[in-house]
Amino acid sequence: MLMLHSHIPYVKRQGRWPFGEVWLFEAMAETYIPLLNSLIKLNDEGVNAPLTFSFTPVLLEQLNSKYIKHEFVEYLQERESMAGADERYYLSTGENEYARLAAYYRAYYRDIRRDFEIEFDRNIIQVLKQLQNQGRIEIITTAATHAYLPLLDQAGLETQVYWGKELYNNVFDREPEGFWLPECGYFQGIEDILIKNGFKYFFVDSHAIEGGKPIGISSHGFPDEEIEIETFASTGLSTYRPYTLKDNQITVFGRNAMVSHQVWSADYGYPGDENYREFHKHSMRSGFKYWKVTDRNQAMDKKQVYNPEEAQLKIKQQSWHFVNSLVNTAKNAAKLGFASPLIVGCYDTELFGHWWWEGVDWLEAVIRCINDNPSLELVLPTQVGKGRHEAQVFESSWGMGGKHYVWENTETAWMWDIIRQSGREFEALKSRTYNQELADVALSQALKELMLIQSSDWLFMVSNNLTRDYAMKRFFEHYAKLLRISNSLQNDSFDETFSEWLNRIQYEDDFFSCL
Amino acid sequence: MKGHIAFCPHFHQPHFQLYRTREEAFHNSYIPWLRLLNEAVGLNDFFINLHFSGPFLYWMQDQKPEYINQLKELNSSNKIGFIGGLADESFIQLSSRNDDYLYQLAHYDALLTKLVGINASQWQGIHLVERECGEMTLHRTIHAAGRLNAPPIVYLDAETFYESHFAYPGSEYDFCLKHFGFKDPFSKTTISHIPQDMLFFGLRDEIGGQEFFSFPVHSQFRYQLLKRHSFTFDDKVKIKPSHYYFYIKDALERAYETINNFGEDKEPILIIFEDAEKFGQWSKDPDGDHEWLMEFFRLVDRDADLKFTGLKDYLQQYGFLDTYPVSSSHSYPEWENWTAKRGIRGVTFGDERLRRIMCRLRDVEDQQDIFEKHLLTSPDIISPEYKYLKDLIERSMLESPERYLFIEEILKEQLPEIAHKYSLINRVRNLVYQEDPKWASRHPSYGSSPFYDMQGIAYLELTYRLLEMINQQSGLKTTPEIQVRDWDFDGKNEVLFTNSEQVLVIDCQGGCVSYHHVLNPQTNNYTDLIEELLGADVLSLKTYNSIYRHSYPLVFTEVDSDISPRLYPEGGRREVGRNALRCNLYMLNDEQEIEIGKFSSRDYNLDTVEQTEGGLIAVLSAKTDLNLLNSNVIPVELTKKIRVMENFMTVTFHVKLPVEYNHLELILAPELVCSASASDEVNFRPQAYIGINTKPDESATIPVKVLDISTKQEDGYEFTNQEYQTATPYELSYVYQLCNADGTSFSNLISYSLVEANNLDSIVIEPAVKYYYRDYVFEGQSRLGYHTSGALISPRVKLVNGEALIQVKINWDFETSQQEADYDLAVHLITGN
Repeated sequence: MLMLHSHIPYVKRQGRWPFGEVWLFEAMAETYIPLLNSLIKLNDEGVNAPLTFSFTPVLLEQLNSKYIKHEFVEYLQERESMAGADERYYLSTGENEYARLAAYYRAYYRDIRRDFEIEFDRNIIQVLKQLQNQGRIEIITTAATHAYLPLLDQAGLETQVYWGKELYNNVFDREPEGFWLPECGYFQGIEDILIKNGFKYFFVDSHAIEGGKPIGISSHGFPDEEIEIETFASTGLSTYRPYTLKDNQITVFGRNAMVSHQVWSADYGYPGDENYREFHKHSMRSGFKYWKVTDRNQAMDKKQVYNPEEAQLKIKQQSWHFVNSLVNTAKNAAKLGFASPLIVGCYDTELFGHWWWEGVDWLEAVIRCINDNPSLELVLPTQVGKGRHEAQVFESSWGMGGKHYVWENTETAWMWDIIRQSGREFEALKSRTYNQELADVALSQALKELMLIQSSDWLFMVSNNLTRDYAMKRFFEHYAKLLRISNSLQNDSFDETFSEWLNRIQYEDDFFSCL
Repeated sequence: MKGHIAFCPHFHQPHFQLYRTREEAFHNSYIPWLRLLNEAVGLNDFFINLHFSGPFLYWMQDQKPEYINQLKELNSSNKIGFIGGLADESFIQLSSRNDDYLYQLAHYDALLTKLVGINASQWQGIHLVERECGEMTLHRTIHAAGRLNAPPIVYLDAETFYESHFAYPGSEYDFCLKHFGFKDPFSKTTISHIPQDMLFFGLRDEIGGQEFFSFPVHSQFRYQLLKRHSFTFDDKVKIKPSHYYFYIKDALERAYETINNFGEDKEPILIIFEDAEKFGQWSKDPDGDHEWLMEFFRLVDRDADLKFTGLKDYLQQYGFLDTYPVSSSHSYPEWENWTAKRGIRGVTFGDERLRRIMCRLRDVEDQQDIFEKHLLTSPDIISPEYKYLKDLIERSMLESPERYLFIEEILKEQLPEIAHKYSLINRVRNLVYQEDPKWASRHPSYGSSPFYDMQGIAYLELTYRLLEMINQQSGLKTTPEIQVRDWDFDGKNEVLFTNSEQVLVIDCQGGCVSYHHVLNPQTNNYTDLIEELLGADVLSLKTYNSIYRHSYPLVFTEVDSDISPRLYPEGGRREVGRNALRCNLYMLNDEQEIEIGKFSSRDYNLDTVEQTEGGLIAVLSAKTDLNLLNSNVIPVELTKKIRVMENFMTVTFHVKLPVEYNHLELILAPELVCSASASDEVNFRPQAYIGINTKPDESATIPVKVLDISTKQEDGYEFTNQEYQTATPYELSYVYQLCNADGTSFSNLISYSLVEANNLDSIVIEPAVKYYYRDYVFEGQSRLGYHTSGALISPRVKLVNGEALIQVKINWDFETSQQEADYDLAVHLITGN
């Protein structure tokens, strides 16, 4: 089972570049559209590709936005134009390899625009819906704005899960069956809320079920000495089968360590191959990435020019290698008594294409190889059905250390104070009654701001110190907006200035239209 | 934005194309095209510019008149435009004559007018062969078009207008960087140029004072058209009609935006040029292609911003963007790749076979010059009082673009008995310049196709004889029987023997025969017969013929990868024809033959060339010092004596070692090569065999090894070897059947009699050429067999007492009555039929 979790924080009208909408546009251009193209092609060719996706409601809302659709086309045209300029520049300097790559990017973005306009009719959601309705993929939901649930207060938790379900329903016209816990963040008790909201399954990391050392023992930006890696007690259970919780009311799937390592490992993960495109180095002229990994231990100035044909060869080899690993894993599982073992791979969708440029092609090749292999079958969670064995699941996440460190540490402690304070603030507002009509609008906007404050993204960015300024700005902005609404609501002060301001922030933080 | 699309498919089948190939294309592509067009003209905004090559129209005229009728009906829809072109789709720039341009355009005009009722002034434009547009081609074509009142409009590849590699400091054109390692700040192209995004308009240019208009063709839209299938395993790209529409609209919008930035408001045009056969024939799925194209047409039809148009119509309504000079001597990028950026001239003289055709064409043109000069300066033309203008008039007339018309008029008036012959000569000479796969490009995917150019050369040789006879009758100089001159323009002299039934070229490089053409004795001095033959076949260009009854190239081989020297491993090499009468010397080592002395390729000395009562004689010799097995240096001399009689020839190979090396076990192995191949253009089941007669009174036997017998499979040929133990052969005949689509079927024969061949050890028979362009084209296309390359017979003669001698008599027979039963042994070279 391949489970792909898709999320981009709310960035609509929150700045374009280098931080903001460009994140969404990159994910659309480099991951969502190519990946869906691949699935459509595989289906057309009769190749079975049952993938499971989760989409955060906040992402779905952005993908559905007219503004985003329009801006995305503009973005693609800009990229084409920049690539064309790069091509001319490199031809003029006699750097033909770079010129060839620039032409490659130009054609790439042109074709993404073509597909977005013609094949998708500018409607990614519609394509997802069709694929799901045809039974080819399964889409589940997650927390409304991707809040890190284990550390949230009860009200926040319930809000995130409830709106996660409702907003999914609003987009896909059906009830979601499964729930993706953001960052695989689990604590005992969350299943009660999930059951209450009608969910039938969710996913956790492997150590949450099996015990032992978590997979996420290192993570970018965090010094190892800062955290003690907990070794979880071995349970004797295995992720080769689904388990049930709470008297068979909900099923939990555990992520398989091997398939995770093979892709994510800093030491031998596929994306780090020397022939693949280097993510971290980009042209100062245009932002295009013209280099290959070359050698992960070498400095950026030593990177060599990327060659897509060479990368394609590697994809073939590695997809074959991956599927071979699956076969071996299944054989080992059989020795342990799992006649028909389940191997669950969970990844961020944006890994494929965006972070790992060749990832979509790799995934397509893997799907083809699996289809060609009689001993393997790709399955959807609903096809697997309920677990038959009870399990006790450890509090856990897929982040470094296997618990909450990435989102709760000395750098983010103050943020949690604000998050909790905001929650209390909103609950207080909610309990009041208002005479003014505008109050409903304001309260609704307050909920949106609260949910934006709760996004795990700001915590993550502050923790890893990569885009800390932007994250803090956004965090404070939403908090400030919430405070001002709260102030007006508490004082019944809805003057014209407030009204105008509210209009403006409704325009800026324009999502969850059904709220 | 309003954008325009000029869809310009190009329909072409060369003269002498195989019947089956034509018919397949007819059913897969040309008939479906009519169906498609009948449906498409029902759309509101549809318009298409069709170009039918001259050879295609001649074929239709001769074989498919109903097709022409349907075309006429379609034309009444007013949604069909016609692009004019050349009568023979010829590489006219190779011709030595200025008047061939008018000849070609005028004949095309006459043909299209006759067939469809469209004259030159109604053309939407002019198709240049392979869109190769050297300055001379442009100038002369445009000039001739003016003479016919045809619109001077051409489509040329975008690369012709915009060289993406403009010079900049640091670019590959920065020669300071290249040679001295520093960037030259002034290695810049200073001239202004139209950006590529804006090359979607009509452009004006002039050459030699002649105005013409051109439209850029962008390779992208050729490649994307009907790209429904993967080309290779790695090819994942499939283009849907909606994609194609998107790309086109996008390009037009971009062009419109760009020109707006320049302050102009002009509607852009995009040219879709592609071979018509891409529809149906390439894919073998005409229905799928039909659906694809109709969907594309409908998308355009529904879009108020897009409109199909004719080239001339567009130009008349919207005018041109600017005068913008094309960069001449360019063509489409693939052509530039195949020809190493040297155009058709590069191809022709880079290829052994094509070079030989050119050489023979030049011979014909020289003879024609002699006749025309004589005619133009005769007292009947220039009265004595203007005699001082004789040279001037002669030169002016010979340079005139209307030279042939002038001569024709004179002949009609003064020598009516020659007028018809003259028109035949012009007709053949022109059609031999036709573009066919062999001429065109050595396109890797075409493979070997000896059938075409061999028919052209067969007609050309008869034409040469016709010219000779006319000149003879006029008391003019005729071809000497022996010529020693640089016939093939390689800087070295060849020996050219010409008698009434043969033309034979002996090349000292390899001491071999590089060209050998024979004529049926019936044609010998029978002008009327030749005239009748040519009149029947070429005047209105009969599609199918049996010219090989009368004229056949016996040695006209493909280049052979086994003897092409590689100059350096990356690919630098020289292609060399297999040719006939090369000779090897082998040393035996563990029964393996090891070539020594390189006698098959070394330079031979021309010892004797003479005309005797015993025939035309050439004696060649090559000497070398062998250094064998660390022994002393051994001087060896190999001689060949070639004697040519009226209707046969003999060749004697002789090698002798110094007496002290008499013990060495060496083998002399001459190569008796005939490039004539069996053909069956209707069923593709060619037949050829070797008939062997043996000495009846000899008990000794020798092995006859037949290598690479071609066995026809569904998807090509399989090759196997056979070995026969026979009494010593004294005669080997290569019999090849020719089944033609005109209903005739006959066999020609070439016979090798081993007049003197003591100590014959064995005989090896194999295809004349096994691989051509090996490693440069697909394996399946590189591999030749008896059905494509002819046969090579190599008698192996042992050196006894340090000496070997073999004499072979070579004679031939057109429409032979010989049967398999007439031979002691008949070995079929092509099986599985």
